Amino acid sequence: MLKYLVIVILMCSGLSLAQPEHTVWSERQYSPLRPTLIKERNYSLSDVNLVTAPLKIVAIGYWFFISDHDGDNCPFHPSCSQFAVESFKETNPLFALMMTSDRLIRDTNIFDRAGHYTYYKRRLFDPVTNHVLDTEKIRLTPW
Amino acid sequence: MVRKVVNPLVLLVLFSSLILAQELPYNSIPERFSFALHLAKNNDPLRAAMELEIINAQAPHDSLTYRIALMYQRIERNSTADSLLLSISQQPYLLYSAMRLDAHTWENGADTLHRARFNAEPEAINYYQKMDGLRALLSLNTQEPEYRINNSFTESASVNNLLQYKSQISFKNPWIAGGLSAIVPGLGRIYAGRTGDGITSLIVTGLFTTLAVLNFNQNHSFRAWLFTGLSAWFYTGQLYGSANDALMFNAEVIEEYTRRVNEMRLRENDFIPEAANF
Repeated sequence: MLKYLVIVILMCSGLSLAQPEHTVWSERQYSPLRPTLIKERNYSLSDVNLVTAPLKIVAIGYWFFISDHDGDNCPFHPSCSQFAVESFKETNPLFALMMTSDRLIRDTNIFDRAGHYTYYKRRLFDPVTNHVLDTEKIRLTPW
Repeated sequence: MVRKVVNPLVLLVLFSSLILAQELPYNSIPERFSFALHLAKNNDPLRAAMELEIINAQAPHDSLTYRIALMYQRIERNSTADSLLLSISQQPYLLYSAMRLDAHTWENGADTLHRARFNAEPEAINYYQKMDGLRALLSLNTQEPEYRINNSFTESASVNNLLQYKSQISFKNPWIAGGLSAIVPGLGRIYAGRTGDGITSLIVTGLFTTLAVLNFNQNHSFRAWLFTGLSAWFYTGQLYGSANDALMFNAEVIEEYTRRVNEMRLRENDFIPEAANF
């Protein structure tokens, strides 16, 4: 009786602690869920000036009251609202307004939107610096 | 009696788990290497270099040292990168210059070439000619004589294909793109190769303009001016976007051509010593 008990305990302890080979050496499986952009949002008003403050307040209001409830749906990285905020930091207000409407048009494109961008964090990589009319700043890939 | 049974059982359980359990694999060389590659791809070359250095200490290899040097060069620690390259090659300037070319730092690469030519070593002169040909091949703005390019590579068929591709490259003018979009919204984007964006620009601008006109006709002045403003906003946006799309098109063309040239270089192994060509 004792002999069988020892054998069972040995088997159970070995099975519970040992790892199957395919777990150890197989390719890592990553989550299919897209990483959320909500965590990357900066709600602070510390880095704004007189021009960008109203826009930042509108953006924070949009994030807090609409976007967070609607879901993390923008296909681009950074998202359109984040793009608008960053464009005002990157260039003058006139260009930033035009860049924002340009981004909205490109976001609305249902025909061949994904074909012109590389993927970064499972979204279309489209940084602000690609749209400041400066060839030197264009980065087609994030790496 | 119970203690006599339990104590050996506890010992047996402990020892059996120690015998059968496997070592955690996270610090193994394959895992660490794949993690280093992951870091390198995700724009973290410093940590990638640290991981590779740990592997290199356990299992030294030239290709690892070369990768570490690449990582250091990406964060512009060129002196560290250079000393690593010097340690793995008997002909350091070959590797050094190839690295410089990879990083598009032409000035430093040219310095090395001039030093190599000044030393007047046969290999150095040969390499100088190769580099000169490669520079001519990579250059898109000037018409370079083809014999300089052809003398630099062993596989002339690939070079001829590249030269043919190069002759067919055409850039887009941002002013033309903007002008076309000023006449018909979205036309400049179609000219710059973004047909979908062009059609969307036309639809969005046309929609708000139509709404503005209809509301002016119905004497709804607030809505009319609101849609007029939106229409103007999207119209100027697509003008700006058209010009930028032309610049993006040019950047994509340059990127694609550089990628093809680099592919050929890696395939032929003309510039990088064999040990480093992983």
